[in-house]
Amino acid sequence: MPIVQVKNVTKIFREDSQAVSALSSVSVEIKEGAFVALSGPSGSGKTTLLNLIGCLDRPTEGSIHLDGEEISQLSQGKLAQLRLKKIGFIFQDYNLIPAFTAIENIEYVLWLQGISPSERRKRAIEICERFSIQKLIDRRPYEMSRGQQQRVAVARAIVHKPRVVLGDELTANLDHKTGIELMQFLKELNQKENITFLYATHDPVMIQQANRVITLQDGKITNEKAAFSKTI
Amino acid sequence: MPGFEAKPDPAKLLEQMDYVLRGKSHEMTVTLDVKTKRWKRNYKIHVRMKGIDFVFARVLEPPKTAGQGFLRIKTRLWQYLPTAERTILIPPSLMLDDFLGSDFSNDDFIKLSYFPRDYSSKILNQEKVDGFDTYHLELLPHPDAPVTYGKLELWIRKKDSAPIRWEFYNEKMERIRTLHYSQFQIFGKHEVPTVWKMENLKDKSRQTTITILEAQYDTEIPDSIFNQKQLERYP
Amino acid sequence: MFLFKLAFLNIGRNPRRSIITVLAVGVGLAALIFLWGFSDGTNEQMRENVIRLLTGHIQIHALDFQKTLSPELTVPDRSAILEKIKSLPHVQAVTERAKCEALIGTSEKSRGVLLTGIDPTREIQVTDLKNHMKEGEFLSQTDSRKVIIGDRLAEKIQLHVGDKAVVMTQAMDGTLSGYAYEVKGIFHTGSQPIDEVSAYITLRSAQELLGLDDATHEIVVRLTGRKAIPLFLSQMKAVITSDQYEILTWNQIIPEVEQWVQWSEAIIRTILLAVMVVIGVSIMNTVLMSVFERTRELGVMMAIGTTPGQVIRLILLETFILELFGIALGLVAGYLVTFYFGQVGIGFPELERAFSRSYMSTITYTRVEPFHVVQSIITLFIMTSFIGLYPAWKAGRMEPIKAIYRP
Repeated sequence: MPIVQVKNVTKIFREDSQAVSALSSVSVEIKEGAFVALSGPSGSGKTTLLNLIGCLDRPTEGSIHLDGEEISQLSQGKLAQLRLKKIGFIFQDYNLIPAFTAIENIEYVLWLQGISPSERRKRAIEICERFSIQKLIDRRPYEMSRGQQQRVAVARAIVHKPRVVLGDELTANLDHKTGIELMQFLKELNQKENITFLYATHDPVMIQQANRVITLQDGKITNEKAAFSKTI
Repeated sequence: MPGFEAKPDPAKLLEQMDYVLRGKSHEMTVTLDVKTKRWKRNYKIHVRMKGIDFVFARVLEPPKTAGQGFLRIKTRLWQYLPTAERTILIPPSLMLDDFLGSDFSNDDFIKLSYFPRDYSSKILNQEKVDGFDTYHLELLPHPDAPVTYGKLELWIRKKDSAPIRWEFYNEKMERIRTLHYSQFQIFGKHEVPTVWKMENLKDKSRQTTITILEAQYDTEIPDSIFNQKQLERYP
Repeated sequence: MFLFKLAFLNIGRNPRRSIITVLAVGVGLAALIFLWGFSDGTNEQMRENVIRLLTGHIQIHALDFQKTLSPELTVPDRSAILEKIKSLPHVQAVTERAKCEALIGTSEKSRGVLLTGIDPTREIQVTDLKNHMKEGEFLSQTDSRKVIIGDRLAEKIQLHVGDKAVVMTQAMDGTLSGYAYEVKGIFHTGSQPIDEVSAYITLRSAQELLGLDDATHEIVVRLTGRKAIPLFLSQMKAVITSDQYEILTWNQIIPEVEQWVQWSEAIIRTILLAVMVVIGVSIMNTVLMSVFERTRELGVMMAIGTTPGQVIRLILLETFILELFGIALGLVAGYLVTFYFGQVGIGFPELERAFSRSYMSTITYTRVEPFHVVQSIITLFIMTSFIGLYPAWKAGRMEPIKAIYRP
């Protein structure tokens, strides 16, 4: 059972009384454990597709199933609840709450879910250890490098064990070396812990790391490639 | 001739009335009986008046107030109190106060002589009052005259302008007092009413009566009497 | 709560802006406290001036005496009343007076006055007229034909200490009564109604002048303080029937004081409102700015699952914390300033003539009236909370996508 099922999804934006078609009848399926890149030039619709899968927006037509649940007709409130439970987000920047330390940022998601303070702390420390970022625990975002910030963001994105982790242009603000490090880190997580990753990018490095690449152009899927011959 | 009578000049009538009561000068002994809700007083006062500008009065009875004196020169009024052995000026602000607690005000004591100056008069009609043929006059104060009456009405005898009755109206045109003259007697060349009764229509429990016991008209009264020293010389 | 911690930390991110907001609230509140302090100080002194100088706390007369001043309206059963008064708690001192309208002057000048016969030994325990003597001396118990007058009156009728004047009035039996009195002293209270229109002789002289025997017109009571008035009134009214007596409190005798107080407090409340509006606008501006600056950050928070309600609460908390600091600052600053001027006083000696019609002192000692302070704080609090609603609501209405991708 695929984690994500997108069927004939169309998304039309109304802007200044002009209708812009961001996605046209797109269908795709993502299985658990996948490490998928959405590629395409800007305006291709990859970000829109990501947002729809990530319960940040609703399609104009078509259906989306996340973890078996139809999400295309849900209310904003319900979508927010789903995001909290099932999705992890990593944005290209502004990921972290600047006022909080690294560990507080990680705990925040757990707090949103209503987990007790002691349990929160335990899990947060645990993941920091797993990611080897203990020394960053009490640092604030402005006291960290971008690479470090992204790592903490990843920790924050998966600490609550979401079904899918979504990323948008993760490496855009990183230098080449750090970008590669991050991608390898994510790949490791995907392989070791079977965490499903779906990320939008036009960075060739990121595209290279993917097991599967879905290319979009003008709101349609134009190409699909399995980088490795793995059934995904 | 029936139906035609020369209309007399009201101002002249008032002058005539004044002369009837005051003459060129006079010396009188009067009683002033004041009745209020709580007390009654019977004063006996000796008065000397020269022209319209000079008045000298001395209270003779009752013993408690005997010796109190009043001096008026033109519009100023002084009072002498034997208990204080001094004279005090009665300021304009107290002119409306009752004279010796009576229904006549200090102002009446002073102003009754100054009608022509402060009022304009006219004859309303002729009536018979108390058996006399009278002229019924109406007096209205000049706009800036310093008087507190809204209107005065007067009945005087046709034959000699002796007053028979006054009616006093306040600024709201309510009739507040009535003054009745009666009991005419002759003193020398003057026939004057000897009983003057003032009724207070706003407070029915009050009444003031002036009775002339004896009077001498047009006697020679020296000017030297009308001063403070004389006022303070008592007994 | 986590949100509270976040709110607190968020405030610290832009210290300058936060401090300015706190200062706006704090200075505004301090100004209000001081303004009230000035007003309350002035008004309190005004009340005490009247009570101490003129009226005492309570006066008891025969019915209608206050209005008519008729000499025959003496206090019925005065010994019994005095006994009763002395037995009540909170009574500091009692005295009696005779009063009438009289004429005072010489053959050159005279004036109508309010003549009061006072009992010197008892009077000085109830009022402090004795402290206002400018020339000569206050009356003493054994004086017989002596009078003291206000300085304006002395000026108007040209009397000096040592001169003799006639005091004349209508006695109780209707006759004109008057004696010569020597001017023993001239007083200056600064209040025109008293200095121009009042003359005092001893109670016994007044009784002689009016033919009163040992009757009096006015019983004046000094209590321990204004707070004791209601209790005293209720206890007195149980004994005194209202068809024979009138019991008057100081502000029924001189109602102008409380009327003035009402009016001036209304003005202060208007100023209060204006200050609030100004503070409100500046806070609204600040909070709005801080919300708009954090659009993307808030968007990310909502994306990862923060509900709009939580966002609203966050913004409100931030406003709330700033408010609290501001109010604390304002309280402390306001108290300090008001306390300082309460000790030192603020003087307007140039305004003495203007104040002379109103019983106000020319030096105000500011005072803190807790009721007004609390009122100001509550109003400020409600206002800032209200102001915070709009930015908070705006923050909660953000859509994560729009916030993140189109800041």
